[in-house]
Amino acid sequence: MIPRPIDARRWAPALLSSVVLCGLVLTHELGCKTTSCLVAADETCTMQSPCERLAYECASGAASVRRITRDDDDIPVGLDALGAEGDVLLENDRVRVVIDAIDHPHALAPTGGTIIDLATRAENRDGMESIFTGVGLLPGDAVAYETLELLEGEGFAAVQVRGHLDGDESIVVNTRYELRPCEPGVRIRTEMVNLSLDDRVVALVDGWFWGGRSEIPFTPTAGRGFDQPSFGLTEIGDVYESFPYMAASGHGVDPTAVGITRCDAPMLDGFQDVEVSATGMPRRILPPSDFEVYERFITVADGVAIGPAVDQLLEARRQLFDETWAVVSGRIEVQGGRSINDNETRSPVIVYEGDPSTPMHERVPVTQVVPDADGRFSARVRRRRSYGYTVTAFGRTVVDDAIGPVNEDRTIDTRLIPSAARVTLVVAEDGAPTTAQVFFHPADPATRDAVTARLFDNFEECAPLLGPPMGGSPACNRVLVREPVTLDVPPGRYDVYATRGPFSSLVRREVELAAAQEVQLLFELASLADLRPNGALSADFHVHGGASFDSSIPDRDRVLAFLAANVDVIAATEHDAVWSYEEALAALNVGDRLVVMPGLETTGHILFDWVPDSDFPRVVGHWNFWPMTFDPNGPYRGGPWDELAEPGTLIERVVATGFPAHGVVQLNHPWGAMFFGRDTGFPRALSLDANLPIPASRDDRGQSLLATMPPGTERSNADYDTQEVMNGSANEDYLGHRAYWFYLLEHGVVRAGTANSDSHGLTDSVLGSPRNIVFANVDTATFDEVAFNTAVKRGRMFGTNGPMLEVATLDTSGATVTPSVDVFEAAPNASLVVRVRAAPWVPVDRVRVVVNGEVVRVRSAPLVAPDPFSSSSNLLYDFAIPLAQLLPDDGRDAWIVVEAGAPLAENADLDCDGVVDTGDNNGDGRIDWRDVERNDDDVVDERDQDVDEDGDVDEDDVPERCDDEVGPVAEPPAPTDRADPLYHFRAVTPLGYPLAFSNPLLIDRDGDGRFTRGAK
Amino acid sequence: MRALLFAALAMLMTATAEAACTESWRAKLEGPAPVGFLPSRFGVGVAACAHDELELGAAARAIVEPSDFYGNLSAAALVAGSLTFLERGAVFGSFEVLRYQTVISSLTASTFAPGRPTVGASWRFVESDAWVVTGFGRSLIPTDAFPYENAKPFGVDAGAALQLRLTEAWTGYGTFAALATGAVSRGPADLRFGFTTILGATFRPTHGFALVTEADARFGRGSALEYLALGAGLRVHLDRRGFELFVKVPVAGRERSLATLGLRLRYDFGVALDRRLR
Repeated sequence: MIPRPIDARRWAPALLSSVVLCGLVLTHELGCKTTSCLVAADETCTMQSPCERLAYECASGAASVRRITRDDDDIPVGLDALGAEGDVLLENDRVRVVIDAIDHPHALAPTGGTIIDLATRAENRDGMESIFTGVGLLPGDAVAYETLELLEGEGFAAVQVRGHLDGDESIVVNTRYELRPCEPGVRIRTEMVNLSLDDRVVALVDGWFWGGRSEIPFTPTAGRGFDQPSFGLTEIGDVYESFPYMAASGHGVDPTAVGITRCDAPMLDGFQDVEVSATGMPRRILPPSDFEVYERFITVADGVAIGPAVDQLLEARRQLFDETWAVVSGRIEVQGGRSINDNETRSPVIVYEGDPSTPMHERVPVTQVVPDADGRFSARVRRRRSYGYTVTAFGRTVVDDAIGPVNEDRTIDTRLIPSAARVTLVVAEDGAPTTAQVFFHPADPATRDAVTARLFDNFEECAPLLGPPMGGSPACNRVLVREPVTLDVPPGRYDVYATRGPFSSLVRREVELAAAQEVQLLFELASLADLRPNGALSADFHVHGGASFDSSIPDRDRVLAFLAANVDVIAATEHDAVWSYEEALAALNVGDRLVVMPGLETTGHILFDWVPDSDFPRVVGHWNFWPMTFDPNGPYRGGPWDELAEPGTLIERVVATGFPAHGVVQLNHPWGAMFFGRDTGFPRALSLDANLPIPASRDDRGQSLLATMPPGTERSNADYDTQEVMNGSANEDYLGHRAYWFYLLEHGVVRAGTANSDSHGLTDSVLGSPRNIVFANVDTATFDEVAFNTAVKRGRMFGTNGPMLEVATLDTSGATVTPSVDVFEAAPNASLVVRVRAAPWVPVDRVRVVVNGEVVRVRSAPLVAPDPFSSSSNLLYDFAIPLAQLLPDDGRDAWIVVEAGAPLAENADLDCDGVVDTGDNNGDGRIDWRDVERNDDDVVDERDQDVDEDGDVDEDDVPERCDDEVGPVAEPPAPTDRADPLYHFRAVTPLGYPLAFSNPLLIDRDGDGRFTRGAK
Repeated sequence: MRALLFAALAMLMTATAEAACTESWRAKLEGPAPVGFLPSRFGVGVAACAHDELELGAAARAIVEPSDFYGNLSAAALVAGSLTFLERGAVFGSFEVLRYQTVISSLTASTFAPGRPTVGASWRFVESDAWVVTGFGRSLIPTDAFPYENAKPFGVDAGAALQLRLTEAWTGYGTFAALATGAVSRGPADLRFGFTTILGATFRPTHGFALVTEADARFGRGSALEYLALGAGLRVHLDRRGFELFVKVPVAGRERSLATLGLRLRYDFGVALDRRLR
């Protein structure tokens, strides 16, 4: 065991080789280092300037950067402007960019350091929500910046932000935003280094948060343009594509267009959706020690359509990649010589690569422009390619023609498009001009077929498409009329309705419109003042306008919609920002007629782990708060940051902003479905089982969070005042909201029920339908906000989209008691008194009396059968039922709710959570698993019965009892007969059915002065 | 503890008198399992008794973490070999000819491309009839290799490999190495240092068959314990050809892999094969 001698001369070469190799490696490593901030340890470095090949010239220009101050009035404005004190304004002679402060994050970004406003210097209008940086879809994939520096130097101004992925601090990310004089956009460079020991999938992208009802992203690839594929969150990999640039514009009033191209490579990668787009680098595995650098140029331009942004992108790409462009110009003329307005739906032009013989899926749309009032248009396109173009009118293609090869600027021949009818709308009520909403509906199948369209195949279907559905009037098939309005309408036979809500008559005009015809339609409404209960105001506590990320309606039209709905009080509940409409109210001089309480709808975007038994991160749904204090230069305009917080914490944050004691906290659409992977209803996010009691303390179930306090707070998640029972004109989740409300009542948790439109514009829900009739003994001229909101919190109101409901009984003192959240002892011989009145166009098929959650009486014979278009209201039901006949004999406290309206469709609870979820969707007379829609084609048929998804329907295709896959809920059938009274109601209340509900009568039967219910 | 030391000493004293590395057939059946958690054949145990061989191999590794929406599956086909010189020396290397990797998160990405090479050399410093100590150095060569796009990862490890003939059937072995990894990059070098300790044993119940079991631990590289893994494998050798299969499972530390698998098909081209095999 004596060690053998070592011959150093023999092993020295091997050792030497290793040393040399190591030396080479380190030398190479050091020798390659360049100036950048890729080295995380270097806290003082300055990132290199992006997009070095760009070189714009102008006679004079400048760039600067500064913090926005408290009283700053020289910042971007517009529907989506969010810049606030502390944020950074980066500007040059052409554009202005606002980057939010690190502690003012917006939308999906966990911190500031993202672009929230982007405007031209000329118009200073921001129409864009936010552009943030991320690498994937999970919450931890967004970038969290920690530091923000302002940089100014010769010929540039810049902002440098440094941070890391929100879910992994070892993935270091730094970004530099830079403006140079004369440039129509912002240069951006992002560097990312993986300093972890794990491989990551990354797609370093800009996330464009559009919000869903404004921009439509456009990419110039085969079959695309505006026609982007729909997808679920788990299918994004399937729609990830490459494209040279992306552009988008608002489609409302005075929109701006934005666009992006890469600077360091000719193609972008990503996906497009009207909610969120991603543009950036290809997906790839980023292994430990590897890095990514992404440089891009984001432009902004004024004008309708994406064309102005594409023009700028092509110039940028000329400088970056030597791609040359030429201008194609032309003129569109209406047959008969009538002028073209600049409404985007009248004659937009889309230029595409190809010719009319090219199949649609092979055409490459490259730009879109809207002709001016004279019909002239021009657009830049890349040279040395062959093009065609289409012109659409009211969403239907009317021209598809060839342009041919474009090697230099060229002008194409003037093209004629079909003439439309020109209609002037005039509305009066009781002989005086008024504000109303007018609906156009095709009156025959031929017209419906001829005029049904969607805006560039996006958003909802309209018949006819008179204007972009998400914008101002006209929108889709609806028009706001205050003074006479003239607009073009495609030829056809129409029913044209004018409405001012449930306190007015309904007028229908049946018209046959011919091309080039000019016609005036006068609508003479009658007010039905007797329907308005004494001392009551009608109010909508859930309304959105352009300040919300998912609305593009301008403030003026929003206020006109308030007036057209004839509501008295509005809670302006914008998503994530407080808004007041004070400028529009003042401009229209309606401040004494209408009360707008600034409010807020907190809207969870960032998923987080807070539900103990959930496999997925979730958000807490939507919550309304009013009145809030509008702060025109504050972050979120006076609201708090509303992410990553349970409701109790959220309420504390709002209170900390100065929320008054009489302020109302409302749980919105509690049984709302998920939207874009985000929960919209709080109890549904908890996977509530309504068969189980409400836990008094926290455990490992989501249900235990329902009414308990989040750690570190002193407010419970149930510390709210009201709950939406009706939400939206379509009533689509009424049964779910109602079931949750009843569940709480049955467990002694009493909250006032409300009915709100949740309207985001002119097209989705009709403002004020439904609404609350609040008994507060106040008026709008001398509005007592405290008294009004106190009445709301006490539940002294009913919710309705038409029927007017009176419910009353007597207490032991003989006084009349009406529904509220106040408990009372009923007189021994008291009866439930119910009266229902309604406008003649609101059919009320039945009245239901609900006791302790069960329907115990139904009255279904109205006293009169009104003419829908008459000018008088009607008393439809008037009856009394002794309480002794309604209440059970158990002597326990009890509650009564009364509903009036259409019959409710039959539904069943297939997932056994105590809430109905599925109707007889296949029409076989029974509700079972065969009624579940499984393949997302919106039709329930035999193909949905392939439960195991093996492609065959066989004996194995029977789900377990209480399967999670359920729905949809059945709704009352839509009338098709134009003579059906319900047809007219639905014409002005799209997808809805008549419904009103009372707040509860809480009867203290055990005499303890409290209302007590427990689990059944 | 004293009892253990005594037992070890007793085994050493009673160990076979045959030289530890004189029989190539033994060398093929003994020594560490060449699987680990770094790319290619980097950071794995080194055979104290080298010999001349070529091999085709395959390796696979899996991280599956549904709760974190993360999966990382990789598989590689590789060639490897070693060549002895001057009786005590050897050069060895490996190259991932094709490497497939898919990483699944909210997005999924995959690569299928050549991987990375390693080269190394060893020298038997000390040798007796019962045990041998071999020094080695090895490098993961910084080449352009997917999924790397902007950095070239490298690694260097150096240390000693030990082999100990315990009984006719049992052999113990160990590898102790310092290790450095980093990247040649315009970004950070991301230098990390660690120390690898591998202890194992082979059991050879019959002439051409052996079972391997080992404990593999790495310290450092950004965490106190990168991993403690337990491995097992089997070796079958007939004449010049052999088949081997290994699995290693991390049981502690920050390593997220469920397991790593290795497969080898070996061919011994040594010109001085052990006479017993002729």
